[in-house]
Amino acid sequence: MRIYFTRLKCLIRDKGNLFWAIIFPLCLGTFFYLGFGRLTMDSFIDTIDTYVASDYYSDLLVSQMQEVKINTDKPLFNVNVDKTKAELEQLLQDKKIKGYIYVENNEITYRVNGSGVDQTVTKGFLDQYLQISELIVKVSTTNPEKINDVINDLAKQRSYVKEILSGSNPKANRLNVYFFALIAMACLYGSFWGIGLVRDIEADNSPLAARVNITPTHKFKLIVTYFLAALTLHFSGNMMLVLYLKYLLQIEFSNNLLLIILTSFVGTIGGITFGAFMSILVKGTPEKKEGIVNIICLFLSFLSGLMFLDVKYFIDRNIPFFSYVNPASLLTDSLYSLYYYNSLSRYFLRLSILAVLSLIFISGTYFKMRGNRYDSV
Amino acid sequence: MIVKVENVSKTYKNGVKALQNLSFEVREGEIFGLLGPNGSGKTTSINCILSLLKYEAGNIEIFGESMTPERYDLKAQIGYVPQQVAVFNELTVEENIDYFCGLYVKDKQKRKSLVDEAIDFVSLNDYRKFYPKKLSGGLLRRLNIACGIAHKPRLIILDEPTVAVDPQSRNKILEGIVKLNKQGATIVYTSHYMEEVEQICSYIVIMDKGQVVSHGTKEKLKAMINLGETIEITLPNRNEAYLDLFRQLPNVLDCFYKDRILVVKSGKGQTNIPNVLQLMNEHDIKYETIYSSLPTLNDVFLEITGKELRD
Repeated sequence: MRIYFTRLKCLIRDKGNLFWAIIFPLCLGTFFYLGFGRLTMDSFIDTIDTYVASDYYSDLLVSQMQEVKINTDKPLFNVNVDKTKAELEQLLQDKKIKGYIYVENNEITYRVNGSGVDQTVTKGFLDQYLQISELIVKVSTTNPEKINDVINDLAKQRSYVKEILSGSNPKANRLNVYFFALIAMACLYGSFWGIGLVRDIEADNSPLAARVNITPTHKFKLIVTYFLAALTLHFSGNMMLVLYLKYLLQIEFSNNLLLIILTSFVGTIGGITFGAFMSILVKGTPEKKEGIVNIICLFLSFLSGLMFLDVKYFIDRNIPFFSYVNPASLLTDSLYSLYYYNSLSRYFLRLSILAVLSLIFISGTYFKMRGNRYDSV
Repeated sequence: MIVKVENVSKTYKNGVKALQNLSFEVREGEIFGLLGPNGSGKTTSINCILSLLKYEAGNIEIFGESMTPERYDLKAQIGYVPQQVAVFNELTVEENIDYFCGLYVKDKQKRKSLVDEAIDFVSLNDYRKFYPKKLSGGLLRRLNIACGIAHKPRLIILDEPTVAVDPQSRNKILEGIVKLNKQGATIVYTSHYMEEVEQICSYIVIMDKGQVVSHGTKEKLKAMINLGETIEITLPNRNEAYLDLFRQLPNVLDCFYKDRILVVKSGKGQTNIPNVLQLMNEHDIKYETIYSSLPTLNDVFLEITGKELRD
């Protein structure tokens, strides 16, 4: 116990590691919150002023556009049909409007004077409208008896999407994945404690470790004690982060706090063991190891969607195997699964893989560290 | 026998042969000096003795038993002061000593008195609550020593403990080592400072290129060489003609200049000072100072290896 408490004291007084492992994620969480923490799809997109030429328009298109909503109270388009095509063209040239739509011989044309979110969203809607229209026309001409089935299928598809999103959290917000990735990154930053563990026990890493090696204290006892001290401190830090995000910043997580704590606990173990393992693999000074591990942690977090959410989706789609061996992705996905899905099977699968990875990391570290004599110190 | 090193050879991965059939013995109660220039293999020897380093050949025994990394019973009786300061920067002086002492001594009460004694021993009472970063180089070295000796080991190994230390701290450290020895500890002391080794060591092994080049008491070592006396005369001006004059004196082995200082080395036997003074009188040679000194371990090393200890 004495070694444990002294080690804990050392770790608490190590301001550099304390900053990176505990303070930095808290700061980053605050910046995320200030940057887009309050953003949802509701607030991300405002109603778009859209112009349809009064002399070239389609009733169906206009009515469909008026029906689309961002949420129950907020329409996606504010459709104006009070100007002719010539007038709208003039307004477009004068840059008084961003674009306008006209329908001629059943062909929809969308004229714009630049690119932007409004134009992209409008074009996206028009593309989808055209696809559905073509499908309905095609079915009504080839298999008119199946037209009702097609319409019902389209309706089901919509409700299916709604179901997923309303599974465990009716206000599901995809931007929360950034915060999940942040927690994953914080867990991975436990690597610094792992590097410290190896640095202070492996005789060829530091004079301090050499000194410890010639004491009558068993190496295994030191490894376990140092690990437990790091786990205590880093897990406390990670819990602070989770509670800070959930209760102070009001970031939406799963309501199952116990499983969030479990995720953070396994993640912390994963982070520390990952650092220790990397420290064994990478040759060089502890400073060099810290630099390399820092870059790896950031890169793994990047791949799990910390900076750009689309990166995570790209990896999931194209290199799914990597998502299963990237500790940051496993953690992000665990929290994501808790948040989005009612079933816990996806969650436990990822957490189990992470636990197995941690076991591999710690076993690899121990088998290397238990080496008795060194080539050089 | 406290330490027995028998035909130990160690080659590093880069091909450097650090130790070549190294053999020596340390007897109980000795202050055993391992003297040699930087890179001679002193620290490698210590690390092999402590079972930190792999070695290809040879055998090492401590307290009459074969030393391996798992011999925790042997390790419990050894104190080690590494060449580099190895303490926790996050712990105070007192906490550091207590931590290292605690790796040997479990009993809290006993440990407390040992820690107090160690702090007293290295005169760090006024710095108990100081963090290592706030200590000067000399004080840090003393802390380094305290961490290695607090548990009162039977064998204390000190690897160049006075490197980069001010003279005042150095004297304190050397006095402390002698005191530890008087209290019953056997000391293994490595250094490339011959004065220190001469001052405190009762038995000396001189190393070079991973081998023992000579060993014995300092008196025995000095008796092994031909040099008897070195006379250094500081002259107002350097005059090359004087060299031939002094070389003609009886029993002179060598004569040369070090800047303005004329150095006359004589063989064993009577002092050459009266002859030197008479010669200077006869030739009206003016001088500022004149010193005579007996051979040092550096002279021993020079005569055996052909180079200076600090080359």
